[in-house]
Amino acid sequence: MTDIPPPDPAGPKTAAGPAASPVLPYGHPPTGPEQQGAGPGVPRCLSCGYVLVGLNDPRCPECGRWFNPWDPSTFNTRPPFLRWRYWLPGLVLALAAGLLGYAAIVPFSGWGWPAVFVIPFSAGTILGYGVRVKWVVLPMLGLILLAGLLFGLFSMNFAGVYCGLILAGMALGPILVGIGAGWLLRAILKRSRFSQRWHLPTLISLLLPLACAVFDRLTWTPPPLETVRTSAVLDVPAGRAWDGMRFYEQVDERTAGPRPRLFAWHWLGLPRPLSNGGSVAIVGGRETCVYDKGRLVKQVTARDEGRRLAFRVVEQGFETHSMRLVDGSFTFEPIDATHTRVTLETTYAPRLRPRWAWRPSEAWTVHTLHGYVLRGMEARGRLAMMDDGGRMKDERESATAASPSSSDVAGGLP
Amino acid sequence: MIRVDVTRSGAVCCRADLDLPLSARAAWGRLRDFTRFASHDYFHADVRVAGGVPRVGAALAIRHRFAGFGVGRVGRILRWREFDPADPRPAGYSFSDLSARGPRHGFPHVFAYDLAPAGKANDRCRLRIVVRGRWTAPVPRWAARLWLWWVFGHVVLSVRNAFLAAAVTRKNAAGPPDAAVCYGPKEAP
Repeated sequence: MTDIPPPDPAGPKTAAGPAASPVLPYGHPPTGPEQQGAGPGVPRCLSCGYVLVGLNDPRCPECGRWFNPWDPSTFNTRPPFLRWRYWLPGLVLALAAGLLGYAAIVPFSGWGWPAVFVIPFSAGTILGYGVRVKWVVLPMLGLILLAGLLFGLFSMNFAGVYCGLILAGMALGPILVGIGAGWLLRAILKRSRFSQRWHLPTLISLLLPLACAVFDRLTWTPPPLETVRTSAVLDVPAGRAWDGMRFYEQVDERTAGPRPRLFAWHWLGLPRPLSNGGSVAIVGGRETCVYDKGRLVKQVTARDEGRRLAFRVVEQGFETHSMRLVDGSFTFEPIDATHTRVTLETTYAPRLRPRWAWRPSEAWTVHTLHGYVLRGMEARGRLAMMDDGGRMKDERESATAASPSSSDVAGGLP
Repeated sequence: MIRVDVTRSGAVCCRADLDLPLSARAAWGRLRDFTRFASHDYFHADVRVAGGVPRVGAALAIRHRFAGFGVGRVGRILRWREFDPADPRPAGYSFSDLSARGPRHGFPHVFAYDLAPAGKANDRCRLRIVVRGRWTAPVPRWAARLWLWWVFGHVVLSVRNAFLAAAVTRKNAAGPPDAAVCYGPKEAP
């Protein structure tokens, strides 16, 4: 309203009558659906919101409050009802309910189905029930809710980025289903005369994860050990493959190539090996690897020269919330003079439930790790077979271009 | 309740009645925001009133925009009746929305809002929204009717939501203003 003309002592002429009281024109009308509610707009009464445009009398016809057309402090040009009130309280409530649910349930019953599915569902229900927006906006609010929950989990140190992203993939469905349920419940109850409809559905949505967590804790049984095996045929003789045997931490990027993106992208938060020491030359020997998040110590439990090496994990200083590594092994099976089937095996005690939801991503992660180890072993074996001039030594000369390349190793992975 | 009629001659009449949980005076206080209520149509991207004050005869420049395409149309405020409890006629206004090529092109129509008190305690009111015009596009009547139903339905829904929002705002606000905070003397009753 800065363009209101200065007061005219004689009083402005208006269409309604000569020498009448000053008439307020539109300031900068916020016309158009996309501009409504933004910026200075039509002058309104400070008390009741009556639109004061074009009045001949500087007084609100509804409540009687006086205003001065040349004094912007006597009227209001802000929109009387802010649209964020339609959705922001519901979104904040859903976010707070979800984060409080995680804070209460994860330390109580761990990462079980209540934390993975019920909390997102309840948060989605609160969102769908508590916001008043078009249905097309609800999925977008669901995504914002999911991002907020993820950020909260990172901040509370309940999940790393990688686990959090997998969790997000699993939680998106329950959130959307919850939003649909909340929206439907709202559509039904708003036509009813149910006196408790303001608070009861929200209260139930808040308490549902807690009840599920109690039930989950009471019925909890330790999940069985999981074993992931990865086999590949390496393009090297068994002896060279055995000599090239390396743990993941020992694989040299200069020979094996860059690490898989899953492990190379440090922003994902997966543990990164820094150094390693020790020996696996004898049974009982220990290999210690220092990661950026803690130590991993492996002890050899069986060693059959050229055929099998087995170890168990005696110390694990990271990722204990998701799994406890138990043991593993390398098994070598000669196929012919120049090819060897190598099988890597990792056994762990899972901590994340439900197993059917987490198992595929865990298996994929371990397979990716195994694949990189196998690639490193093959590269090291091939390197050992080369002479100083970079040519294959005698044992390889019989094998020609028909042999599979290192990419076949990855291709042979399950 | 929405009703959309398109006759064989192309005459269009869209009508809707809304029961609002506001007194007629309070509702009129919101409805007076002419540019806002003239913009509830999907296509009315910008409505400008000549002189800045809506009154009978004021020329309008109505900018239509949809899916990136824009066209300027013109109009005029045809009727403007302030709310007066003593006047049995409904308060409201109407305005025309015409093509710049002339009054017989591009769906010429008149948009009208009429507000009347309702309820025994006058705590409610009834708003009638009427659009009358002539359908000029060479499309089947059923298609025109469907199209108008969609657009008019959106207008009615937007208007209803605006008044419901106003009702919520009034419900949440503190009671009536204290006379001491008024900026000037009240008129004698």
